[in-house]
Amino acid sequence: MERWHLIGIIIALYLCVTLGIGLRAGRRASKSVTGYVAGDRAFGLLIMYFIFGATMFSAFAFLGGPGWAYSRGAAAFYILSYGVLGMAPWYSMGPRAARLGRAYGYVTQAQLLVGRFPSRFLSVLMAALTVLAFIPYITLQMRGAGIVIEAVTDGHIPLWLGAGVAYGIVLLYVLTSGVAAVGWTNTFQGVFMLIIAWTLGIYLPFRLYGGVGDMFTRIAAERPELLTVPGLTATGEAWTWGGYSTAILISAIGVAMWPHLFMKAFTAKDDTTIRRTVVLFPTFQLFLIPVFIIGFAGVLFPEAPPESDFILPFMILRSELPALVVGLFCAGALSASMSTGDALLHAGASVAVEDGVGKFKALNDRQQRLLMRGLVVGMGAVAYFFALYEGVSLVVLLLSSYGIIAQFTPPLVAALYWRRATTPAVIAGLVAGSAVTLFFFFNGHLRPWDLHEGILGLMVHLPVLIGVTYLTRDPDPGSAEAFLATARDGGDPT
Amino acid sequence: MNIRWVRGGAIVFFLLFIIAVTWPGMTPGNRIFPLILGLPFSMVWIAAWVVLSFLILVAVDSAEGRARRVSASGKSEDPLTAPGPDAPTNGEGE
Repeated sequence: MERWHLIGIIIALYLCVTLGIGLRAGRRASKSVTGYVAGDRAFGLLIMYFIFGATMFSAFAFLGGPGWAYSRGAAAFYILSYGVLGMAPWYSMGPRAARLGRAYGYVTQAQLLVGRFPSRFLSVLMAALTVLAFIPYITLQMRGAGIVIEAVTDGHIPLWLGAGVAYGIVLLYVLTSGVAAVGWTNTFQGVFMLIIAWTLGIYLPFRLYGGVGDMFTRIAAERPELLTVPGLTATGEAWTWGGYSTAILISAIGVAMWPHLFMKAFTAKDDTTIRRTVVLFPTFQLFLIPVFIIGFAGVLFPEAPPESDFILPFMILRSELPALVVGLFCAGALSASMSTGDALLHAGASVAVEDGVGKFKALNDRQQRLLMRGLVVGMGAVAYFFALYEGVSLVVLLLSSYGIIAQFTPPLVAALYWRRATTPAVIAGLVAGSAVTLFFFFNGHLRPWDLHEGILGLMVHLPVLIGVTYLTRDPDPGSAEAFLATARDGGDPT
Repeated sequence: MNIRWVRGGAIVFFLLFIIAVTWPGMTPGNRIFPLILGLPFSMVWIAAWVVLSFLILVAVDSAEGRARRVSASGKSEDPLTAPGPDAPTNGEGE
């Protein structure tokens, strides 16, 4: 048996287990929109922990993370910095959103927002921005899966086939079991990712350089610029403090606003589950340390991969590791890709139906679920198409989408905490903030101090939101009052 | 300890966290040596803030839990519908 056969068998086993877990997961969920999108609001701590952990750390963490540490050094530390900062506010926001979800039956982020600020335009705008931000994101996950499989099987399984099989399995379990499958497979994949990352992060430096300390001592002697913040840019020049600092800020502000994460507030069994998920989140975040160590291990590696993102598979294949280790690594990388990809496909389709199509045409519960499944397939197909005919622009699109997603933060904070805020102010703020973000994205050289375009967007967004709020009047202050009382205390809105 | 002090303290901590990992607060931690557990000091500096937030969040959670139990027993209502103490009317959240 050739080496790549054994690796292929390990990957196939991993995919079978994932599929089995995914298909089994949905058997207890009810046949309803709440069951398909919000898991009947019954997820416990274990699943919530891994949903947040594994979903947030996508293929980017296994390929991009080491790639950044390898080529840009300490610039990658911004990823370690923002996660906890972004999650901490959820200790208060998450339970509020969940209480509103239980009381009013919300399953998406836009439903919550429109529940407070009634506007069809707002709902459709959020749905459109969500789907637009998701397509490049899903595409990158698919490519990540395909690249890894192609690399470790020496090209015997090409990208199109590897990505197709991995995401065919994702489609099967998302179509059958909805969010229950996302939750349970993420738990399995999350455990897998954690074990593989820590094992490789400690094993590789020892095998290649005799130890973690020895490796960093050598890097400090040969490439010291890689070990202090803000590190380097993609082209190898020194990155600016403005760029590094605002990358942390915009990511911390935006991360919990990604619809596939925000919506999970509606899946939790109770408020305590959400709070505990936030409390435990930093323990998952530390998994980036071995990920960075793996990337730094590549700095001293005698050969260079064709692209920095391939550093991990590249090193693994050239270090004469046992086929078992290579296969397990590959399964770990697939876990990272699929655990994010499934959540994106599921959330994207749910949002498109609930907040987009559903605003124009009344659909019953069964039609909604049918349409969601159709859109899961549709979005998967579009992303698969882009994954095969890739251009660099996708990465660029994804980076810019963070600036847009961060513009969801002021409206949602206002919805949950600020009684005075009015509907026109929220719409004006969102439109102005997004427009400014896009303007500076396309005219990057105009940005002062290399600040992230999303931060510049927020600098316009907040004054507009506050200013228009005080220029307008809420026609129905009683309903805002009732909404906030429900957020605070839960219970029946009537 | 009054629950408002706990919340205020947590907000202050996370603001300090933001300052400590961006410019200019990162400067004191931004060096390679001494290596700690073999890792560069800059990486350990950030990781230490992550570990510290875990401890802070555990402390906040236990204080909030106590406050919830006190308010639930004090008003002798069903604990599920009793006002959650984590929801100050004027709070911005942490």
